[in-house]
Amino acid sequence: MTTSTTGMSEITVHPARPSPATSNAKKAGMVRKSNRPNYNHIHRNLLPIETYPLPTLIPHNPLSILAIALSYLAHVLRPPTRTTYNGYFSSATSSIHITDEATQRALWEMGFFGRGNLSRSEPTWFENQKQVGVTAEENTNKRRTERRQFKLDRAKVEQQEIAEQMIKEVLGSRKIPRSVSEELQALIQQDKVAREPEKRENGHALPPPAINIPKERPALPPGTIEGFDEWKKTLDVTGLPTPPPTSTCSESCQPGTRPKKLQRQKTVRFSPTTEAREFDLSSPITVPIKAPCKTPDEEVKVVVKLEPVIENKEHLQLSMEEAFFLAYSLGVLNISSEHDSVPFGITSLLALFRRHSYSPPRSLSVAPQPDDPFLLSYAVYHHYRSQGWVVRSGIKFGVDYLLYNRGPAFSHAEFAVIVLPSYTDDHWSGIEKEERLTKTKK
Amino acid sequence: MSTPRNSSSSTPEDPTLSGLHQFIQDNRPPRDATHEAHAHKLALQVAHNLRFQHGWTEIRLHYHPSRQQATAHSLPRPVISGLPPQRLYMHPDEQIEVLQRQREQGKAGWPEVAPEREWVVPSQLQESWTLRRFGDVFDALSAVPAEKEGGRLHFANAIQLDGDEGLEMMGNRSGSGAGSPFNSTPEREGTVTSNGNGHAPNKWRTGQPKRVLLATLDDDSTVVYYIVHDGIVKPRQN
Repeated sequence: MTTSTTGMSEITVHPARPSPATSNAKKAGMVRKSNRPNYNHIHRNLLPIETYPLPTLIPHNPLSILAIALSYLAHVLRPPTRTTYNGYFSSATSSIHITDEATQRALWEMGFFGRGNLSRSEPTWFENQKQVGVTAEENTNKRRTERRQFKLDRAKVEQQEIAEQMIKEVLGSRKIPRSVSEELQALIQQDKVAREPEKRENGHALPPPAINIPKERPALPPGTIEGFDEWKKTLDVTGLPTPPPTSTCSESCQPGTRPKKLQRQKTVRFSPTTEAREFDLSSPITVPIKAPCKTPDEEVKVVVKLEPVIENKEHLQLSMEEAFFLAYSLGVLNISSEHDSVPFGITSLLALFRRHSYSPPRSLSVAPQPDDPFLLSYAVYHHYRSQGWVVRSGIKFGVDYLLYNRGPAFSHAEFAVIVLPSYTDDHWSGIEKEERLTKTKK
Repeated sequence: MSTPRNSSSSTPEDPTLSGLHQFIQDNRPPRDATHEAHAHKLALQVAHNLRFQHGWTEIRLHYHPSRQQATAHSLPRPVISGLPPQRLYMHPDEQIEVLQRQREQGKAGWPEVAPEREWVVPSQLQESWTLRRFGDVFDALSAVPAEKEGGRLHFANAIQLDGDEGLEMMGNRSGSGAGSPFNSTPEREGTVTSNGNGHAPNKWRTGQPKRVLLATLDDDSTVVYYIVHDGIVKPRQN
């Protein structure tokens, strides 16, 4: 399995185990290194259903026929209980939320259903919060940072070339006093000299950013990060994921130092004392407070005393098509409403989903239409799922669905699907005529 | 719960609500907001995503148009403003300027640019946006959310999200301390932290067309963000 260098990859790397590129090469024939998770094993079940194959038939041996008959009877008379999962329908978000961890893992591993609320696809937010090691998101961020730095350097070089070119043109075209031309030439020389050390610096690989910088445009001061070494030491000592030293106030804490810009890991809280407030379990959200600047040691002391318990704010969210497939076609999901745990019946579920496929959801008084968006998208989803494709949402690529051979963990999507309904049935021309008649009457 | 269920057995417990769900329940819209509940919930979902997946700070919900630079008299839908962890958009000319400055100072590596407050307009995938709708949104917003000059840092109706209390209560509390538009000093202490330039807004912000982030939400909780400008801007190099 290879990881792509662009940010558009759908491949998920298990966060707990960093993946050196060499482990794949050694795999053939040798003992597998424990760095890479074994996706073939994790995703061995293609759908969350259990199958019980009958024993093999040996035509010349009558006992095999007996074995088959007995096992068949056993299944008929005492069918094995089916594993079912529970989720609830949240009308505010028009989707199904799965909050149970075991169910989340099961649904994700067996068929790639759903999406972690606060992650790229696999629900990894909680694990990312707990550890500051190498996670999948950090890998991606590192690549993105490198790409941004490369673009910036390229822009710098281009600008300098433009400036030089302009100066040369000025020198060459017009007649200018000698002193000015000498100055300009000196400038060009200076530029060249100035560029050399820069080139040398950029010649090495990027000074490895001590903290991986998330998202768009990081602000990394040249050189090391103040306080990083102490923070690393405290991290090693205590083993607790304290946030890296940042300052949330632009007026710096120590008056002499240059104000540090916000350097944050995507996965760690930005405010140093947010951890201290996390364990107030009654409030799911913490106020983004502006913490007074503390030294890393102080922060560590606070954290050690109170032992923050991070609540898992993430859930697995199933779209309505996925949930209906699991509930209706496979029969493994029980969907209840958010207020109680009585599961919906299939017909009421269908009506509910049809209404909620509009934004804002339609009320009960409006009659359901044959071309409700839910029906269109579900028909397509069911079709491709029944053929064995792994179907995922395609909003990140501007399409309706993405089709994977085995799943996002194995390869990129083979196809992207856009659904275009064709209103060619006579029913629609009939409706159009009616509407035209009513309009002309008015 | 992956335990097998028999028809006659135990009653399953009520479902544990997810963090997002509780967040939506905890934050009710204030009474004077005229927007429908659906738009409000959409905004809350986007705010939750910003805060936890992307690490934005100082997230506020606005129900009324900006006090400055707004020509519309109502905001068509609740709008979020917040501070991203890094700068999201640098105009190409600004980039030239920054690089020039960097070269004069003889530094290398990434330039130091302060993150700027951004508007985020929540929407849903099913919606169709027309130019008129975009125009209405842009008319109701100022170039920079919560400007630092003249004490108009907080709009009286912009409320900081808190988990425990409803938005109304938070609004009153922050209104007395830092939310009043006429009281400049405490606000400055509280919120100048986000703007590295001090009190003068970035000229690239006010000189260029306004920009918002259009956050589009899908059913499976994916939120995609696009930068939308109110006019033609010089494109950045890819």
